[in-house]
Amino acid sequence: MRKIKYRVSAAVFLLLSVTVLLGACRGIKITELNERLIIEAIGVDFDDGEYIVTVQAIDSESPASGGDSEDSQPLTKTLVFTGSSVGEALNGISVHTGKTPLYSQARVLIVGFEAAKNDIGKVLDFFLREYTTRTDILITVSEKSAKEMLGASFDKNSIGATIIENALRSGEYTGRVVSIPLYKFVNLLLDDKSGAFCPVLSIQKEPLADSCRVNCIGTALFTDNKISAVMTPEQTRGLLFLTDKISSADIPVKTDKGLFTLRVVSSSTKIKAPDGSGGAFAIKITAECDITEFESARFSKLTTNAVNEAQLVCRDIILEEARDAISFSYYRNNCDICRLERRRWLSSPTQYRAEFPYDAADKKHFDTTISVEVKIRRTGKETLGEEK
Amino acid sequence: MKEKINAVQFFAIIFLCRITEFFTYIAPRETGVLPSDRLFVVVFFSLFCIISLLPALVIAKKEKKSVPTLAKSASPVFGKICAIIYIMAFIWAAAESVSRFELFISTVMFPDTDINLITALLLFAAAFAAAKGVEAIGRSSVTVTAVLAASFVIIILTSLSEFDAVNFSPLLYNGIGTPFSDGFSSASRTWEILFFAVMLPSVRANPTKTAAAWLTVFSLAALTGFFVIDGVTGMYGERQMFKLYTLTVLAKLGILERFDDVMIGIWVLCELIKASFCLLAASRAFEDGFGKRAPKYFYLVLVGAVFAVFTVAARSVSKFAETASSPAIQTAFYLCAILLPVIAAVSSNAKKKKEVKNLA
Repeated sequence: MRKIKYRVSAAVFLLLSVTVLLGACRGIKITELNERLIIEAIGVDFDDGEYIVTVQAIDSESPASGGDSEDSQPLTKTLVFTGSSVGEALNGISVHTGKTPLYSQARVLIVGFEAAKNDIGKVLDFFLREYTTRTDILITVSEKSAKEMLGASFDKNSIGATIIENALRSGEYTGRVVSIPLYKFVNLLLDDKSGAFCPVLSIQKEPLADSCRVNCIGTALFTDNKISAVMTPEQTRGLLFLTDKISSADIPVKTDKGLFTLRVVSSSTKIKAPDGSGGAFAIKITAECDITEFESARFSKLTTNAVNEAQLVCRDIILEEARDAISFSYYRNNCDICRLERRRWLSSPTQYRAEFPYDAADKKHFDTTISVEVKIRRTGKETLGEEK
Repeated sequence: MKEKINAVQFFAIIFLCRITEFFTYIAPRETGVLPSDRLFVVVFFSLFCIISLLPALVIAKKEKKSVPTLAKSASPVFGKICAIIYIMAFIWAAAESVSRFELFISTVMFPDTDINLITALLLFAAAFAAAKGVEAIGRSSVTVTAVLAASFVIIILTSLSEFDAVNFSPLLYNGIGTPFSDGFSSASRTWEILFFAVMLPSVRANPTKTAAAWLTVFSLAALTGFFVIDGVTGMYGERQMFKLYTLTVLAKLGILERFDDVMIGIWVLCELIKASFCLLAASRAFEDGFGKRAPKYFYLVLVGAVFAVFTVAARSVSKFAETASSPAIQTAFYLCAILLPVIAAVSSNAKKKKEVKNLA
C-alpha cells in the first residue's frame, strides 16, 4: 500500500513538474505560425555582381485578402532583397519583415536568365545546403528576370506561384514543357557525364485584361553550369520523347485522307549502348496514341488504311522531332540530354577510360540511331469502315 | 536469476541499434565510394563484422559467460579492467548515437537551436527504460521493428517510380581499395557487436544464428536503402548528409506526403532503445566484472558520462566526423571486440589448466 502511494506521489510530482517546467518547451526555439513568412516562390537574379532575390509570400497581415470586391487585396506580397550571395540576400527577409522565412512551402524556384547564364551552380548551392528548403521544388529559368515574373500581376484571387507551378506542370498534358524538380536538375548538373536542362518561362500581358499569363517558351540547355542554348517547344517535345518523360501530347497529323489529332497516351524510350567494339547508340521510341479528332474533306468514315497512314506520318513527326532535339542539344550545344556518355561509362567502362582520358578538353560525341514505333490504340467512338 | 529475452527480442534490439546508424549514414572519410561499389562496402562490412563477432560467439557457445565474467574468472583485477573498458565503450556508443541524432535535429528540425534539453530528456528516459530491465526494452523493440519495417518498405516502394538505373556506376571502376577501407571503417563503428560480448547470457537463443540473422537482415536493408537512394537521387543524394531522410522527403503515397515525419518519430524511438540498451549493457558489464549489483545511482552516473561525451563530440560537425571514424576509435573498437575477449578466454583457460595441474 505504501509502495503504491509512493508511486502515485512520484507520478503526480513528475506530471506537475513537466507541466510547470516544460510548458511550451521554452528551451527550444519554436517559431509560431504568425511569426513565419510563408514563401510560395523564390526568384534569383544576378546583376552587377549582386544577387537579387525576390520572394512571393502569403500576405497574412493584409485585411480582407482575396475576395471579388474591388477593395480586396491580393493574397500574396512580393519582396525583393539584395546581397553578395543568395543566402545573404535571403537573410534580408528576417531583417526587413521581422519574420522567419518558411522555405518548405515554396513551390517554384525561378532563376533569372542572366543568373543562369552566369553560373547556376552558385545560385543553387544555397538550396542544396539549406535543409529547410524543399528537395522537390520545381526549377525554371525566366526569359527575363525572376523579379519581373514574380512581380507580374495575375488574377488577385490567385497565388502567382500556383499559376507558375501549373504552367510548369502543363507538360504532363501538352508535352511541350519540361517539369523538373530541383534534385533531378542538380543530379544532372553535378554529373559531368550528363547534360542538364530546365524549362524557360516568360510573362505575357493578357490581351483583354490587366493581368498577365505565363508562357513556356522552351527548354534551357546547360553546359558547364551555364545556359548554352534554348530549345523551342517543338524541340522540347522531342527531348521529352528521348528522355522518356512524355506522359501526354496532342500531335496533329496531316495525311491524304485528312487531318488527324493523335493523343499520345503512353510512351517508352529504350537507349541501348553500343558494345565494346563501338557503333552507335540505338534509341527506340515506342508510342501509343488515341485518335481524338479526324477532319476529313467529306466527313468520311475512318478506314484501316487511313489509320495506318496516320500511324506512319505520326512516326515520322516524332522521329523528326527527336532527331532535331538530339542534334540541337547534343551535337550542336554539347548538352548530353540522353546521358549517352554516362551510359557508355556504365556499359563499357574500359573502353570509356580509353576514349575519355581525364584531361580531355573536347568531349567526343557518340553516334546515335533513332527508331520510332507508333501504335494507334483507340479510334474514338467511331468504328472503322471498309476501304472503297 | 536474471531476466532473459528471446532471440526475436534480442534481434529486434540490435537491429534497431544498427539501423539508427543507417538513418544518419555519413561516409566515413569522404572516401568517394561510387554508387555501385556500395555492394562491396556492405560485403566487406559484413566480413569485418563476422571477424569481430567470432571471439564473443565462441565464448558464448563454449563458456556460456559474458566476457567480463570470463575475465573475472581469470583474475578479479582483469575482470574489473575489462568491465571498465566495456562501460567506456558503451558510453561512447550511446554518445555517438545521440550526437548523430543531435546533428540531425539541429540541422533539419530545429536549426540554430540548442537541443541539449531534448538530449538530456532522451537520456533520462533511456535510463528509466534501462532500469526497467532487458525484457521491457526487448518487448518495445519488437513493436518498433514492425512499425519501422512497414514504413521502410512503403518508402522504398513509393520511391521506385523515380528510380533511374543510369545513376549508377560501373562496378569497381576505381578499384577495390575504397570499398575495402569504407567497409573496414563502417564495421569499426558497429558497437552492437560488443552487446554479444556482454549481453548474451541474458538471451535465450542460439548466438550464432541470431548474429547471422542480424547481419544478413541489416546488410540487406542497408543495401536496398542505398540502392534506391542512389537510383533516385543520384549525385544530389551523394552531396546530402542524411541520404535516407532525403528519400523520405521525396516519398509519396497518394495523399500521404510526409513520410519524413513518420521516420523521424520512429527514429526517436530507435534512439531511445539504443541509448537504453547501451546503458543496460554498461550496467551488466559492471555487475559481471565487479561481481556485485550496480548501485541505484549507477544509471545517473552513466547518463552524466554519456551527456559529457556528447557535449564534447557533437559541438561541431568536423570534430564529430573526426571522432566517429578516427584511427584511435577504430583501434579501440577492435581492442574491445577482438583482443579483449581473446585475452579473457586465453587467460581463463590458462588458469583452469593451472588449477587442474595443481589438483593433479
